[in-house]
Order: sequence, then structure tokens, then C-alpha cells
Amino acid sequence: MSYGFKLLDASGNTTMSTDDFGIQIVDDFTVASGNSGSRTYTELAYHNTMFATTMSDIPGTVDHKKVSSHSFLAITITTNSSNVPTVSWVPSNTEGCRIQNGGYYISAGAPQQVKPDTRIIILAG
Amino acid sequence: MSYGTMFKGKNNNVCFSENAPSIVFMGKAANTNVYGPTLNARGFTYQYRYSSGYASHIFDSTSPINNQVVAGIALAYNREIIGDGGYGGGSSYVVRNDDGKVAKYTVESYEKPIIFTRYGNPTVMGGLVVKIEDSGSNGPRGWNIWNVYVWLFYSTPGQWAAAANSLELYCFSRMDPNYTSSSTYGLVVKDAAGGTMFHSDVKPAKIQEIMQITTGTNPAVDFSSTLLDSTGTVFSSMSKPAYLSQDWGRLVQKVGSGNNGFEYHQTPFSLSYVSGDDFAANFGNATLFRLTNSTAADSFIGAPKIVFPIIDGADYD
Repeated sequence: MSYGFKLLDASGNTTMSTDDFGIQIVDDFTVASGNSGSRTYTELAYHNTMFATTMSDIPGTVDHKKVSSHSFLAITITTNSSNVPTVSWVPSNTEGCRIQNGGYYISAGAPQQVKPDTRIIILAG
Repeated sequence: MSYGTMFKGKNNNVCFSENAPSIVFMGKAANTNVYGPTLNARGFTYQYRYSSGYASHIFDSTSPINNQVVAGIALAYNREIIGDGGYGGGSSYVVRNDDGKVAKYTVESYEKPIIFTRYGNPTVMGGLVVKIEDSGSNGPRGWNIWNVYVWLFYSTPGQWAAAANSLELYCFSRMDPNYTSSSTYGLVVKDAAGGTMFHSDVKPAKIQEIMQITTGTNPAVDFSSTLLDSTGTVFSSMSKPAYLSQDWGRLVQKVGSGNNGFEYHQTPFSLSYVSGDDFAANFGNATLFRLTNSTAADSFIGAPKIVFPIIDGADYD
């Protein structure tokens, strides 16, 4: 690089550089299955790029006799005139292993349904 | 900003600032070699429906689900089968064939970790993180030990240990604001409250690429993807690309139609890079679909838009 900023570790390896895309993970929170909502980030008015992504997180004990019904989210990001971003999420498709009337039973007991939470991870730069 | 420190990169994106705590590398999760039971040992009884009615079949250790033929369809491992509803006034059925075990890993992390997964053998093995919980104990750095549960996928029955060992889980967390160091050189950024937002002692989560996939109901024609670097140069230069672990949907291969139909709901083993901004989702030894190729999946159910942050695991080995 002929200009800019570069950070090296003790071994001389570049750990960060202004040549990078410079995307930071700026928030991480969990929403219950089926919920919708939004968050506004006034402190991120500087942002040039923003993304939202997700991870699954099953609440309670991992039990192999439970089946999951995963609610996938539709996430949108909007900005106001001051470039303050708002992240909104609504349930999209629900899928996984569906429990339906007359569908099946678990011989060791009644069917249990677990609905994984969704961790929403916000990236910005 | 009216005060403080901020560095921007060549794309006008912020590399770090005192406004946002760094997300830093905590370590790789260690396989505890503790695995959950397989489906065959769980005592599930499945009810299924066929053209002249419906019946049930107990899949257990004496009658494992693998190689069973139900309504003319050979069941294979790692498939979820969901039938059409509505037969006989609402009776419907669900068959889930998920021999994949859940493996338990542990990692010490300041907060609940964000995990990127590297597939060592992506065409036949994979897995996704389904749960992260506090173990209740602390590690040598004084941070919590977290239990990480991964739902394993493998195309060859019985390969759960190999699948678990083929995965590398790169774990990241918010920077410990109380972090101090005896280092006499480097860079520290603190916020107004004196909390450490960045410290050059620890490696930051360096997002190398972001792949955005816009989905649709038909993987053959509706899917599209983009990369920050649309040439794919950054992506292809990574020696160990690792994706944020996420459950992003189900690919469906439909067999039959109407009340007598079956659907194979399949969770892809992995997402693999093809070229440019193209990718492929693999299931076992078969490529379910490629954006540049034909498809083996008929439809998709899942999130309308998927964002995959990608790191190079080699940066943290």
C-alpha cells in the first residue's frame, strides 16, 4: 500500500488495513421465534454499508425428541435523511419439521415442539 | 462524528471507531467428542400416508430408517420428508429422517460467541450451529465457557465423529471492555467511559467478503447472489473461507404430486464457492443447485434474503 493505515501483529502479519472492506460486527441480539420488530442505530449515522444476518439458537435444553419449526426472518434496512439506519424484521417462511394434526407421535411421550430463537447480527462499515 | 477516533478504508467503510466495540477472536471451539443419540435410537414412530390410506412405521434399532421404502420411496439419511396435507379431511403426516447427530463443542468467550464454520470436507460433511449456552464455568482468561451444539450432516451413515472433526469453528465476541495488557506497543482505542473498544493485542473479526443471496421459490431460476468484490478475486484468494453458521432454509425436491405426493426436504451440507459471485449448495455427494448450472431441487423454503459474512480462517490459525 502506498498510503492509508495498516495494523500489524507482533509477527508482522497485517491484522487490519484501510485496504480492507472494513466491515464491523456492530450488534448482536436475539429475537424469539415468530416475533417482529425493529432497532434504530443513531450512533451508526456514519455508516456507508450495512448488513443483517442471522444464526439459529434453540432455547432450553437440546433434546433429540424435540422437533424444530424454524421461522426464517425477512430483514430490511432503511435509513432516514440523516443516514440513521433502522433494521426491521418480520417472520417469513416457517419451515423445518412441521407438526400437523395427525402427523406423528413420539413413542416415548407426547410430541414436543421447539421453536429456535434467531440471533440477528448487524454488520456495518 | 464530532470527536474521537475513526479509520475508514478504501471503500469509505469504517474499519474501527470508538463508537463500536471490536468483535475479536476468542479461539476455535474444541470438540468434546460428546454426541447426541441418532434418530434410530430415539424411538421415533412415524406415520406416513400413501395412496390408499395411511400407516405408521416404527424406526428403531431393529428397523432403522435408512434403506426403508415407504410408499415406493427409498429413504436415505439426512432427509426430512413432509407430505401433502389435506388427505382425508386434514390428516397429514411428517416424516423426518435426520440421522445427523448433534455434537458438543466448547469455547471460552467474553460473551456468547458469533461463530464462523469452516468445512474441511464440504462435499460430504458439514454442520450448523443450533445452540450456544453458558456452561456455568469460567476458563483461564476469566471468561465464560460456552457449550456449542452443532447439528452434523454426513452422507455416509455413522460418520458423525469424522464430520465433527472435519469442522473448524472460529469463535468471536465483543471486546472485553475491561481488557488490560502489559504490552508496551500497539494501538488501543477507548470509548468515553474508558472501556476498551479496540486493542491490537487481539485479532479483530476481519470480514473479508459478504455474499448476499436473494432467494425465491425456484432455486433454478430465482436465486441470485452478489459479492462485495464482484470479480470474486477476494473470495478466491482466501485459503480457508469460513461462513457465519446459519440455518438458512430448506431445499425441496418433490416426488409425486397431489395427495399421494411426497416432498424431500433437504438441508444442504454446505455452501461452496464456484466462481465470481456464483455459489453452489451441496447435499451429500450431489450438488443441489448451482447458480450457473442446473438444479436438483424443485423449490426453496426459507429466508428471502441471506447474508453470509465470510472470514479467512487462515488469519486465525
